[in-house]
Amino acid sequence: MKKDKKSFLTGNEVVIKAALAAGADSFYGYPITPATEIMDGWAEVYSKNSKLNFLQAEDEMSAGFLMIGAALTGKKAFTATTGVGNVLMQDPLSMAEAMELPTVAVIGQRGGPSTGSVIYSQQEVNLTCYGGNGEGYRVVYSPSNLQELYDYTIKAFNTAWKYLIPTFVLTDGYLLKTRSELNLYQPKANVTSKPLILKKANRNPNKESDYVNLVNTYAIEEECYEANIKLLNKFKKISPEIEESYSYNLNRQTKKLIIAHGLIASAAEEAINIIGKNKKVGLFVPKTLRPFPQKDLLKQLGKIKQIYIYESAANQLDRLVKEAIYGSRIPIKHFGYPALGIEAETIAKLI
Amino acid sequence: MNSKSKNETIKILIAGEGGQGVQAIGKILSETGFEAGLSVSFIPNYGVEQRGGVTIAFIQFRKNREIIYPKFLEADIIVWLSQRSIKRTEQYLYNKSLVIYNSKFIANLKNPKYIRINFDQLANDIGSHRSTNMIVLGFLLQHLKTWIDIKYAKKIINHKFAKYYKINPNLKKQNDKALDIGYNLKM
Amino acid sequence: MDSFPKSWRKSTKPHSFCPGCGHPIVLKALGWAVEELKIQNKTAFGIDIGCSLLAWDFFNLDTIQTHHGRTVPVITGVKISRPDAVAIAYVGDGGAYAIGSQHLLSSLYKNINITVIIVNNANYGMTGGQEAPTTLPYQLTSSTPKGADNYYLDGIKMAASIANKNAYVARGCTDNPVQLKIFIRKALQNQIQKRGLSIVEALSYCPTNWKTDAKKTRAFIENLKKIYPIGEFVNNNEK
Repeated sequence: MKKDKKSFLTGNEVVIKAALAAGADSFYGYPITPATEIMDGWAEVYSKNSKLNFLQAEDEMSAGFLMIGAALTGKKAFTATTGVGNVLMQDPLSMAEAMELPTVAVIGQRGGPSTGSVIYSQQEVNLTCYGGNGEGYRVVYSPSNLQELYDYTIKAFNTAWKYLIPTFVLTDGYLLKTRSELNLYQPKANVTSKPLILKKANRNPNKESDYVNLVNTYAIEEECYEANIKLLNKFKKISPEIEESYSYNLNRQTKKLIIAHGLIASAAEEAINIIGKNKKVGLFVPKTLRPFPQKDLLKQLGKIKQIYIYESAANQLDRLVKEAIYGSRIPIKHFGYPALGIEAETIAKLI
Repeated sequence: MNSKSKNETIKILIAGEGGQGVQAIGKILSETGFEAGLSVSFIPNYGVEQRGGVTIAFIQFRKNREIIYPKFLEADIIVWLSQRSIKRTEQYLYNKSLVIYNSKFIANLKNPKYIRINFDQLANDIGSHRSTNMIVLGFLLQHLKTWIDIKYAKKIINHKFAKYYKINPNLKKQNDKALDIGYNLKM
Repeated sequence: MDSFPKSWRKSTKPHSFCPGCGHPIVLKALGWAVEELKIQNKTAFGIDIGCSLLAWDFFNLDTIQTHHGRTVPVITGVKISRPDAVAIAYVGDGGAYAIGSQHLLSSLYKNINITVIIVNNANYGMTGGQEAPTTLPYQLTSSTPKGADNYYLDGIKMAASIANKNAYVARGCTDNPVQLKIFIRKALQNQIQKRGLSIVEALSYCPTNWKTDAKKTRAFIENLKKIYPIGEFVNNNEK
């Protein structure tokens, strides 16, 4: 007997379903393992639905700029990439960040640096949160399982269009290839998209304000400073509405705190089950890496005697945590496994 | 087959060369488990080659609770289909692992606890080398009787191969026979 | 008759281009073409980095300034989403033939239905006059102080050799603004008729970086015309 309302899909398939559920109608991308199946999956859907848009670009920069062009006209467009593709994507993403464009990018992390491996890692946290030549005014979600991949991909579109900010779903090669069960619900409502250019057909040819002239250049330092402050203040203002975290087995008796994100948070949760929930080990999971849920984390630190950070990178989550808890004197044990998965049993042994 | 966590989870690893059907078996087995109402997780692992190379399927079944992480350190059941795949996956062995290996491509491993079967020969014997995978699958299902009723596997296979069965009804006969042979094989 | 097209934004004049620059001539030709075709309110005007960016507030047209070499993909994204719009990528020779060359190539063989206007002054003007793909040999530039390398690219020849037969590929010059306007108009019509890509390269004055006076500027461009011929190279539109 099949589970009620559950579907059995791979992460790649889940991304497509979520994008469509969120009202996405445009995808632009370039083949790169392990994100290619997202493009192929969209191409499949596009071949059966003439209302959708798709173009396979000549490289990731083009893919990102095509996405920007579409977003400017009010289309819910997205892309998917990883690794060196993510590096190239920072060119258009910098523009999106500066100009507050609602782009959505699914990043399927693979081993780095450079070509690395085609499989898995959590090594694109720095790049996705702070890539480009800006200050990281972006929203980055890090799902821990297939259901969250679905939930947060839908959320990414709504966040992008509500706040006009480049938004990311930071996942990895494992999750995209994992086949498991989840609930494919249709969201009750999605944020409406609005065009930034070609808004109306009837305009007064002589009236300047009827036209839109968008730039990302400033000739004068002070103008650039003002633009930066505006972005900074906006980010500060919207962060509390966007930050998210998840806690497991955390209460006032908790002495040891594990911090992990994405798939490794799942392994950590399982590790706590293996150790035993009565052993006073808790888990804190930032669901948004950017903005980082600093307040939530600080609230949990009360009686903690030891922090453990696990990630499939050298020290990218580590850096975010330390910045967030600056001033805290709780000792931190960091376990970094760049490009390698970390099983629950491994985490359980190391605590 | 008992797993460490109180009969709750079973971890299966299948490894072989690209083209031997590792992922095909993994896909059918995992969908069968889902159909049977279990919580399932299936993740493939490949090299970069388009053809060939060692390929691995990690499958987990769990009753009553979701599977949280797709990979594992110790496999309750390991199936080796090629010589090369052994070195690549030896690390997943533990003292309770049930090891099944294809003697067509793997020299005698000399461990009496391991199950040694020439799957390809069995398939040839019924005149259907293409159904080798079905024999492997059937044999696995024999060892998963407490988890999955074989009727679900038949349902999934019939659904997946429906198009091919229409064109070639003989293929269905061969696959069904191969599955039963694997399921009833006494070693 | 007006001296300037309707889309000419008065409050941003005098413009910021150098004295003697070819851009205002090309822009005026573009403005007239847009007026004649009555497409002011459905035009998306994309501009590149470089001197072309000084046109960001030139017109009463919806304008988007992009990253260097990326105007073609941005404007393509607009066009795919709004096929009713007239999408124009206004770029320089660096953006078209160096950093953006792969995008131009893609739009050529895919015959993307946009219009690309390439203002070719054979150097990277805004950064001080470095060698560009179209710089002629021996030309003194700031990155080739001993004279430019012995290679150059005839981008229109390349475009014409790849372009779809329904595309429109032409080259004009700022010394003949009327002809330039006609070419640009034909290019835009090619897009409106959904025939595919249209490219107009405009050889353009740059006395500032050529370090030439008026007379020598005219001579310089005559020299450019010898290597980069004027004309319509792909033009199969009977209408």
